[in-house]
Amino acid sequence: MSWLRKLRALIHRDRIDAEMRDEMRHHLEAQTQRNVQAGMPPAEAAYAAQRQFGNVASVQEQAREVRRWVWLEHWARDFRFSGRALRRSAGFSLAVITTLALCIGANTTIISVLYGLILKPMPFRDSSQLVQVFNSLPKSNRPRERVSIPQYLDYKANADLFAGFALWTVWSFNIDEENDPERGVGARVSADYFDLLGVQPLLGRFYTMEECVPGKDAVLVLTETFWERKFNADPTVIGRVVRLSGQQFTIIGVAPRSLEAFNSDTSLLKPLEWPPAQAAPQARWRPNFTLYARIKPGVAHSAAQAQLMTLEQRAREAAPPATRQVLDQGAFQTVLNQVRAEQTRAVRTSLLLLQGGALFVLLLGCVNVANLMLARANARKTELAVRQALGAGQGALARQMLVEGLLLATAGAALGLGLAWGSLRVINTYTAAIVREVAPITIDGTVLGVTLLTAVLVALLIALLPALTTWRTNLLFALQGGGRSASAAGRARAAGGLLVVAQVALALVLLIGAGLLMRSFSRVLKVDPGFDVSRVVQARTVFGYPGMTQENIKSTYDLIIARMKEIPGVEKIGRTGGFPLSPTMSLTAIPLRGSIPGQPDTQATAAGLTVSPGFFEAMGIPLLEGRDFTEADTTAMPRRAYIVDENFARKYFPGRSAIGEAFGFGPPELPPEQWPRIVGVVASSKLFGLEDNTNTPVGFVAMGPTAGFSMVVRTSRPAREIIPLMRAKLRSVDPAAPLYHEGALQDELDYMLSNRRGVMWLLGAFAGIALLLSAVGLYGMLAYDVMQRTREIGIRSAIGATRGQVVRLILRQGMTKTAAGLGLGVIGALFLSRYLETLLFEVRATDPLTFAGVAGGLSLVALLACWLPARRAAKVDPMVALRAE
Amino acid sequence: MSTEKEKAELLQGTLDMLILKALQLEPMHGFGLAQRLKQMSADVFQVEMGSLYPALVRLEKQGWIKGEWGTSDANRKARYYSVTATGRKQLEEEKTQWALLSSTINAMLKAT
Repeated sequence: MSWLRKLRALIHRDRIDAEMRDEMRHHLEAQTQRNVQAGMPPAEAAYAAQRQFGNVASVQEQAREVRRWVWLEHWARDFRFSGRALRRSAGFSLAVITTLALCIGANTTIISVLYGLILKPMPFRDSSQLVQVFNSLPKSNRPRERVSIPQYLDYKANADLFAGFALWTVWSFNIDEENDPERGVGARVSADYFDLLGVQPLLGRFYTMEECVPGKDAVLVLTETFWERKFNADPTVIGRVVRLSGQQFTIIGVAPRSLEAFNSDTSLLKPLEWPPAQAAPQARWRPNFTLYARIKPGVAHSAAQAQLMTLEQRAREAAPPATRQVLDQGAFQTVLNQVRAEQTRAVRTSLLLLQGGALFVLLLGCVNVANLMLARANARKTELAVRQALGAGQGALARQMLVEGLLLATAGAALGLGLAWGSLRVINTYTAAIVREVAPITIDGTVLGVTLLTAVLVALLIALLPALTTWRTNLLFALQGGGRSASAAGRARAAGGLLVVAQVALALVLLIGAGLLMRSFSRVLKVDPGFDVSRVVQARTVFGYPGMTQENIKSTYDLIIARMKEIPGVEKIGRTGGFPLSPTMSLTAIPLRGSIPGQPDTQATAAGLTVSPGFFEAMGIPLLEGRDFTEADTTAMPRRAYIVDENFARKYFPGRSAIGEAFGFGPPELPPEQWPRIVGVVASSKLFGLEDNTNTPVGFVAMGPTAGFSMVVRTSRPAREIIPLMRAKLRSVDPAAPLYHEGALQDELDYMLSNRRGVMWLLGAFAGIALLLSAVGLYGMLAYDVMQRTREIGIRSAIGATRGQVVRLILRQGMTKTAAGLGLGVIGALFLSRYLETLLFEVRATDPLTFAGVAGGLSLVALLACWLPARRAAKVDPMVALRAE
Repeated sequence: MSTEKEKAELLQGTLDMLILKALQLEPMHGFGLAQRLKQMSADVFQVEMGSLYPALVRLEKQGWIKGEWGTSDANRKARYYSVTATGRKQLEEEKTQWALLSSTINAMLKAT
């Protein structure tokens, strides 16, 4: 009977068999001895013993059978019986399985995403020691600045707690200029990058530090994906010469796909080279590169960070006073962030939040299933009592419950996995937009294990609860029909009631979370972008070749703009050196002339964008004061005119006109009296996306003719009509120039919201499931209760209770529990909603409207869930109810 | 369920009870037990080994008896069985039931 013994029998079958053989041999020997004592000759005595015993092997087999047969039989019987029982109550089984499938599906999906994006280690040895290094100026609101070449060289020579450093920067180029020019993205990377990651070339070789110097750097390492896409995985590609942006490069190697886990939009790598000026000591404060480092094994990140800080302290002593002031004002420090954490920074909070939501759903589902099982156990009380009276042990009944739970949980888990698989296929189409470094998310072994474990735990939970409440059932009472005629046992009812309260509370917390996100989203959508979204199309191009003269650039540039203007439907065309919209525009320190009133300790900062005359007009950004740039402004060297936005003017020149004020972008090179002056103020617009509410000051610099720029075209025609025309016009000027990053500004704005939209929909879906589950739970509990109390209600009606009174009786019972759940839920939400704060937009985490609205909505749903059973109660015919027993 | 099987089960139940009874006095090994059962029934019952050993396995699994390796009189390793506390309780129960069953059957047989 004991589980342990059965398990032991299964495991030690060989030993047990050997023991049995021993035992029987002893029996034979003893019999032989007895025979000898009785006077038989030894040989005959042994033979007689054999005969008396019978077939030894057959006896062994019979004994063995007892052991095995019972073990198998119990389980087979339990499963058969459970299967039959579950089939008999198909509605119940379906409800449980669907609930579990929803819960397990949601959890498996989110765990898979969480694991795939955040928890899964990168495919490099000791990847937790890989960090990205930042120059941080937290007090100037610039916490994540890049790193310079002198810093890299200094660290490489002097920071011995690190196994290595590698410099990295984006490198864009035109490729396939002969046929269909396209803009490619690669990286300029120092040769130590490959050692840092510990990867080996798939084909050919990687370059060395000797090739990271100007003149020797015309070599390329392809990434595996790019090699497959552009070269059809041709192994003879090594040694081939390709033309990128008019320059010749030799392909020397192919890097394995694991490298793409570091940066997936990189299609090829070339040596990072630098002119001597960039390595000069004063260039230390011109940070332009991403710096990766590997901390030596066993060295704490804090110790490694402290070492870099010491080196920085030494460099600071030698810095010019103005630089030192900038560093001190920003409270300069060096920051090390794990690479994987850095890549997934944008989604980490959302994902953890979603995981929390999914766990809530799982909890709710378990509660619901437990409640269903409880009701079922209660309804089966008589059956269980009969079985117990017939000799089934408590253990056997509990085992029976467990097997039922296991069957349900397995079916639910299987369905849930299917659901997760489907959801992941949908989610994978979005992840690329959020975190590109991660390959498609799959349900991998670890996650599968977690799911199965969850299923077993759920099975235990849903089996144990009813088993516990029926444990000490009064047999006699149940057999006498107590289980049928009177109300359900008090304890079971109390447990069911508590579960319903918990459910309502959990659902409310989730709904409030989703409600807050939805309100935020609608707020975001209502934001006025400050420019004309619907009628502006953007497109970017880079033309030319190395060594192109400024005159040639200017004539090509002018020609391109002139041709674009010929396109019918193009009303205005403006240009910018950057991107018209960008979620990450880096801030630059700007020394302002004179003191900054009221902010003595804070370094003034602003985002900078170069724009052409007419840019604001094309975008539809109103000019508030002063004038737009003129053609003369774009050619004047040094620059003499700036335009700033309203945020800038308000922040740095409060209460007066900004026109005529002067400032310099970046570390000062010119004497302040030659700094450009502000000639115009434009309205602030959402150039960083609708979600941006940092009121970042923006300064605009006049943009002259340049070989790389974005066009913003104001047009009444849709983007899909205009863009092919623009491409044709561009080709007519320079057939090798690609047109890229093209599309309507509206699409770009929408794309920038995809993260927020995704989180909102997912949490909304979870909240919807939660609402459904809690409504079903409430309904189920009351409906069951009404069924149990049919006789009581009959008596009440018989002695004069009106239908209204009966309805009120049931409603009161349900709504009291709902109210208790709402109370608990509000407390929980008040406590938990703070974790949502980073995702909220102009909505407070304790927004009373959301709280009230959600609680009201949930109450209505609860009322409906209570009203259905209440109506049934009111229809109870006293005579039928009383006669039913 | 076939009648044959019912009969077998009935016999099985009786054998279990008799084994418990025999072991109640002192722990015994399989051979000794066979001898004792034969002796107790005054040679009426010839216990089949094919019934005895499976019964021992079954009783041990129920936790009513306990088998342990010891040394026999002949200084040979042998498996000795003893009755556990639950086994004693079970024996009392079976004795009561047996008494009830046999008296009932006797009464029924006497009735015309």
